[in-house]
Amino acid sequence: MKNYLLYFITVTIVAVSCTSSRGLTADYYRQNEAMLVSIKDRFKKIHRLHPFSFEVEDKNFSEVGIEIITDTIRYIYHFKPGENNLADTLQAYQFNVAEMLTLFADMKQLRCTWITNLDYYERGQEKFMVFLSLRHYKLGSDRKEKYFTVVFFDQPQFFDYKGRLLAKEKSRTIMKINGQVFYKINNRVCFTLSGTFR
Amino acid sequence: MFKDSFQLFYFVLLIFTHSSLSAREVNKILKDSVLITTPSQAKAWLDSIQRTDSSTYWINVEPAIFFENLRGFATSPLKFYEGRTNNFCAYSALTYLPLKNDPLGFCQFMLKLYKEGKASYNDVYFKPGKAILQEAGLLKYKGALDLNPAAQMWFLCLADRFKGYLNFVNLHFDKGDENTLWASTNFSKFNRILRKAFKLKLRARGSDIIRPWIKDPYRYIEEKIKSGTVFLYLNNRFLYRKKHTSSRFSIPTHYILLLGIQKIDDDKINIIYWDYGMKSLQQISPILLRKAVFGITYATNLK
Repeated sequence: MKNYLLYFITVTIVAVSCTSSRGLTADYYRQNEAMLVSIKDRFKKIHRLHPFSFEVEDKNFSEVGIEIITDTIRYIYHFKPGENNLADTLQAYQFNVAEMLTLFADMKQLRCTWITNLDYYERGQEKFMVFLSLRHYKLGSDRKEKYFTVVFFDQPQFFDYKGRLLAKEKSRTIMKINGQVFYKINNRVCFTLSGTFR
Repeated sequence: MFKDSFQLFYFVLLIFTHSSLSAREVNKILKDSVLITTPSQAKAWLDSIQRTDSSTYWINVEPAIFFENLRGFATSPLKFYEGRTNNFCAYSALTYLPLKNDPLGFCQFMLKLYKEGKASYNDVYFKPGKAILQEAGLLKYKGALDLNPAAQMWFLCLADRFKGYLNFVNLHFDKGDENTLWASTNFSKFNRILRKAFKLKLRARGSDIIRPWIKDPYRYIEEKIKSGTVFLYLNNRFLYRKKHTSSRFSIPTHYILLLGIQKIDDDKINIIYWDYGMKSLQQISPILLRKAVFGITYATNLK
């Protein structure tokens, strides 16, 4: 009897936690699709001229970091609250400062913690995806997965019957990004819940 | 019961590792017997040799891509890339030395390994098992490492040939082990590989659990980098934050090759380092430098 009770409690906890994350993933992207796609599009446009990644380094979304990638070196900057040199730094690297600050403000509003352009390889060809993570209150502190990660592909992707991202068409190989299995949102966008944001 | 004795075993090993390294002990000094060759010599040699057919040993490594990879080793050592989400950072960092000091010798070794399935580099004999031979060329979703089966061969061979206490739980390679303790490298193992495979004069300070007892790490590192190559063993969380939670326990997880260090003012230090196939410049505080660094390995430059 004791064992049955323990089993029942475990199953209930698992079921409740699954429902919570499914609710977040199913609804969250659709509710915020316009803003998420806008962030992705603006990031890609700026990235084409000035490759960079942006991160939020603390839970309060006040400390930020930016990685600026040049042909020879990657510059990694950290900015604490109260420091006004983010704009100066962006200016020094010839970014459109207003455009960048608006992008960062929108990211903070959605609680995005990391955005980058990630390379992957298909039949020997280099391709890129936009990788965006956010920390949502629904993924509470008791959960292992604290980040909702979305990837945007340029081309339609292939998925199995469970909606898992596949390496190629008619393949059984599941494609992993940063060691994670991703699930379909639509043909070009998929998500995962992860313990890390990058 | 097993768990307890297992933990005790690890604890004893950790203490042993620390006691063997934390003292100001100069590692065994070996003769400077490393041959110095140039990238142009390596390129000329690669142009002169006849391309081989597919290897009967490395069945998933195509010869055309393999030779292209060797050319990359010779011409752009700083583009050598360890890949994402694996435990190859130590092997990648230390490979800078043969690529810089002896690209010809390294390419010749790699070709022999490709053709014969076994080869020696500086008297270190590599004869990988069947699982390793089959896996090279198949590692996927690791970024540019996907297109570099030659680097996959080298990383897998190093992880298979050299073992440290972290590897005792998983001594034999199975698919996916590039992400597990099988591929990981403790500080003592890292230095052992440098000494044995590259025959270098080394000095190592630090350990896997306790930071080196150095009064001013900045001054120490700055002094060493003037006359040699410096590797840092550090807690990656301080360089690349991946989550927002903080932990009381700090352990080193990443190896980098330090290319430069410069004090800007009392609160800021610029470090230039090489990892993930690129040079990075990051500004950190002296406190963060002290917190992040667990091991400093210094190899004398070859004349």
